[in-house]
Order: sequence, then C-alpha cells, then structure tokens
Amino acid sequence: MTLTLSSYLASILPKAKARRIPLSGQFEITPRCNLACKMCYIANPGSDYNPASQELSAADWIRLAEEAREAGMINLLLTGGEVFMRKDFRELYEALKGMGFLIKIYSNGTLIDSETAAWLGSIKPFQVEITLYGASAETYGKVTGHPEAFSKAISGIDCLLKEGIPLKLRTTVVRDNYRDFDEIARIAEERELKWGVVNYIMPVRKDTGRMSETYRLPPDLQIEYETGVEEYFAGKQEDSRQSLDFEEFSNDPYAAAPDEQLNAYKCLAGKTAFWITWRGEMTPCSSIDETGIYPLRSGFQTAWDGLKNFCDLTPVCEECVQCIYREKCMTCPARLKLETGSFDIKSSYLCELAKRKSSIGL
Amino acid sequence: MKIRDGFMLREIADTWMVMPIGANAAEFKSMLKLNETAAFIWKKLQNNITKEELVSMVLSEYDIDDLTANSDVEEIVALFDKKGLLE
Repeated sequence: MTLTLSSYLASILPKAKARRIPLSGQFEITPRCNLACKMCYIANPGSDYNPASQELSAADWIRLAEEAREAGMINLLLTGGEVFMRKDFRELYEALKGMGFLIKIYSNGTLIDSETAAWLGSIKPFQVEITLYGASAETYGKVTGHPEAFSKAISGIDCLLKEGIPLKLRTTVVRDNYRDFDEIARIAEERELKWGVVNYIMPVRKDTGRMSETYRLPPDLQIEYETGVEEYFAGKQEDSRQSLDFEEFSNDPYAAAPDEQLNAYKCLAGKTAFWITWRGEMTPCSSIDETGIYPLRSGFQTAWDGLKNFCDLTPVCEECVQCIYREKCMTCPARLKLETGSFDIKSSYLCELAKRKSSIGL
Repeated sequence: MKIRDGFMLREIADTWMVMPIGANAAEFKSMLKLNETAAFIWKKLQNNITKEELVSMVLSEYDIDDLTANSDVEEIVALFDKKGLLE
C-alpha cells in the first residue's frame, strides 16, 4: 500500500516510542553564519576561535548518519549556523540523500542563488525552511546586521520556489522585527507558503551565541504579539501555521502527550529524537549543550543509550508539575536549565508568560 | 526482472518501507509500505531474476502451497511494475 508520510510516521510512532527507536536526528553541521542575528543561540563568526577547524567533517557526519540509520533514523534535519556556509555542503547532502532519509534543511536563504536552487531541485529534500527576519532591508539591518540580506533571502525563496522545492517560512520574533508581522505575512501569502512564528528566544548557550535573552520581547509585548498572531491565523487553514511554541520537535504532531511522558521531557527528545551539536556532542535538543555524550567516540548506539539515560535522569521541576498555569506554559527541562541554570527550578520569565496567557485566555 | 536503481528498502519498528533516494525522491512523492512477503520479494529483486525463480524462493522461505506462492508473486510483482519500480 502507498501512504503519506504523516500516516506512515503515525503508524510507527507508538512502537518507536515504546522501543525508543531514534527516528529523528538533528545535525547541527556548522555554528558559522553569514548573518549576525542578535538573538541567535549559535551564530558565531569565530572571533575567538576557528569553528571551521573544530566542526565535524563531512566524513564524520556521514559516519554518524550511517550508524543512526542502522539504529532506525528516518527523519534528518540539517541545521546550523547557516548550512550553506559549509564548502562541502553539497558533498555532504548528496551522500545523506542517498541513504534513505527524509531530509529537512533550515537556512536563512541568503546564500541560495538560482544555480544552488537548481542543484537542490535535482535531488529535492523533504522540505526547506527559510527563516525570514523581517520584511525590509531596514529590519534586516537591525536584526541580522546585514540590510542587504533581505533581498538575498527573498531571492533565495523565489529561486527555491521556481525549482518546486517544498518550502516553509518562519520568523523568529524579537524586539526589532515584531512590527513587521503583517508585511511578513504578506510575503508568505503572495507565494502561498506556509509560515510560522518562533516565539521563544532562548538565553545564550555556553558553546556559542550572544546575550540573546536581552533581545527577546518582554512578557507584556510578547503576549500582545501572540494575541495578534492568534487572530491572524484564526481564519486560516490549520496547516498554514506552525505551533506558536515551535522549536524543533516540540511542535511535532506526534509529540508525546503529557500522560504518556516517560521522563521530564514532554517532547520526543530522548524517546525518538536526538540532536548532535557542531562539535559532535549528542544532546536531547538544541537547548542543551553539555551531556558529555560523543557518538563518534563511543559509537552511535552507545551514545543513544546514554542520551536516553540522561533524559530519564533529568530532574523534574515539581513546582512546574503542580502549577495551575502548566497547560499554558512553555516550560521544559532544557528551557529551565537555560533560564535558571537548573533543570528543576521554575523560570520567572516563563511563569510570567504563562500567567499572562491564562489571564486573557490565550 | 529487477528493481530500478534509486530506491531503498528499510525496516523500522517492524514495518517495511521503500524510500526513493537521490534524484528519485523528486519524482516519487509517496512511500510504499510492504508486508513481510513483499519485502522478501523486493530483496530478491535486487538481482535480475525470473518470476519462476521468485516463486521457488518464496516456496523455500514460507510454508505455503504453489498456488498461493504464485498468486502472491504475481500480485506483488504487478504492484511493483504498476508503481514503475521495475527496470
């Protein structure tokens, strides 16, 4: 029988979760980026070290992918940094594409010209997601440090569309671009593209990044923004948006329901999903960078076993579990660790957002 | 008969599926889920083989009669052919 991807994944997920098969891998193949977004947790131009010399080689990633495939990986996200910064990206992508994965690529789109899009169109990924940081050169200048990047991103999007590559847009909302909502929506609508908003800006990760939390919207503005987003999408088809609380797999439609939680994580991290940082460390997701688990040293299966153990031993925030605002809250162990330094201490920022959401029924 | 290049059979969580790989991924939008017998036949069709040889292999692998083996092979090969998976 033939079937759609979603029905296939739905059919195997219960068994995969029960057996903890690593269906979904996220490879952070570079920390390097041609933009300099103030809020980014990873973009690092390399002023104090040389990331290119420390990131894994294409051969390393291919080896990891081979071992992960043996363990059951079928979904593969390639992200950065900006993936097209890697000179060997085509070599890497083509090798991975030949291994039977459903590949998704995250990009800022600015390095995608017609020739690059034609190459990608000849071996199409499952999907490309382009992050739009604003709807004008002025906004791009403020958010990314590169005003010229706006026209390049739009050009990249249109090149991908011309090649018929499955495409989705998303926007990371911060202080300098929240006013561009209507214009970004128009860009997506004109191209009949799905579009979503990333509304959680994580504090700086130790191995990369900037003081990103100082650049996110304050809670009152955040709630006002989210209210507007809700109103905008209310009249749209359900699949025309991503979850407001989008972050990698947290919006996965097959994410574990709360009553099925095996551990402190509500999402599929450590159940059927994993992340590998640019230095080759396996973690539950992009928000956690210190597990001490290195699959290239131990072998993938041993690393995956270690990650499951790491997740199972992650302490639960009891205050969060008991909290009456829990259903409205974006809390998770990874965010608590970044916000408070501990997996099980509540975050005043997340608490404030949840209370405000509850108060207006958002 | 032989399976075309550009497809991969994978077993994940007790289910067998055929994934288009490389340039084929742009052409084939859906995936093919196979039962165990179909997966067995797929694997045999990685090499050039006749229908009669396939029936013989199915009979050796499974405890079924000639009629059932012939019928299964006919049905599965026809499916592969219809989907454009055979050379």
